[in-house]
Amino acid sequence: MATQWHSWHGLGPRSVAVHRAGAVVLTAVGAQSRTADTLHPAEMAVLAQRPEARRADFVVGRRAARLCLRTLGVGGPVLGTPGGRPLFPPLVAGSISHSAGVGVCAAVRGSRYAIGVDLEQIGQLTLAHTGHLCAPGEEAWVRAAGPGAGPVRMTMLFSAKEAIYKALTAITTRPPTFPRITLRRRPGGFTALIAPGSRGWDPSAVRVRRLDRFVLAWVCIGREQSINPST
Amino acid sequence: MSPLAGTVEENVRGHLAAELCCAPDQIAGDAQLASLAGLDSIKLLRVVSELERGYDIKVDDDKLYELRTVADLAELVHTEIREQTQGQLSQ
Repeated sequence: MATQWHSWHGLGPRSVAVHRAGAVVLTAVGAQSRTADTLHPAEMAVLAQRPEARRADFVVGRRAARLCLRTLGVGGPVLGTPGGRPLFPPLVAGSISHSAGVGVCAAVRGSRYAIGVDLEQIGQLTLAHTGHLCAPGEEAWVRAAGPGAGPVRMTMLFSAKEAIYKALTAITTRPPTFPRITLRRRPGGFTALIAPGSRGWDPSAVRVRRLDRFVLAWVCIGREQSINPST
Repeated sequence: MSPLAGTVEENVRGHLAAELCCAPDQIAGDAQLASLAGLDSIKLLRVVSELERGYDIKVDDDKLYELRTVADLAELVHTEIREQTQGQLSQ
């Protein structure tokens, strides 16, 4: 099992990949891959409750989560909240995403963190979709890339904001909408700024990586540093 | 497909079906959005953008995040059409 980013390139149905980013473990598992990471019996029970059309996504996501927890040295199933979000074992913060038959998971040990991960295929968004995505200034950044790289930038923005949104849902019942999250470029991703007066989160670093036809984004937020007591 | 060719409900189901590569009659009005095969945030954003263009409306972001069912989306489009028509008449 490779642990470097090069194993993530060519991500597809047969992929199995692991990456450590500091304390965060990221894993990817394709739907046709061969790993020992099958679903926990308790996860099978959750699966049975899911709509049939969603079960393949659930399985590939939970397999990625099993691999992630095994890499962290943690046991236990990843169940689900009543709202459908993954419920990781105690003292683990985790997040799951899936796209085109690939499941990804990001997880970290500790109760002080909220984490979000997102995997998207490039090319699903165009400039016609900026209205519900971009904060001021971001559309100009996308347009400046031209027709070739513009869709990549759109996907980077979307994926980064989706990861932030997922992380914040573990902390607040009402995360900010995407246009209220302003992203500033930094090496390896973005710094996220939440519009003053909207929700009041401190800046957070969201990592973004292009993997051929995909964009992967993840963010790990320390709970204490994230909550602005003035709002 | 022109969204103005049918009812709002038909067009909502039609755009969802086009996005998910299935027949519109496979999408029930009371279906949970989270239960539709292949529907994720990015596809929902694409569907909403198409409906906005077709009806010349702008859906409020906060309301977008509260959608649970196909019927919720149709009702939201109805509401936006009604509010924006009233806004134009009052000008």
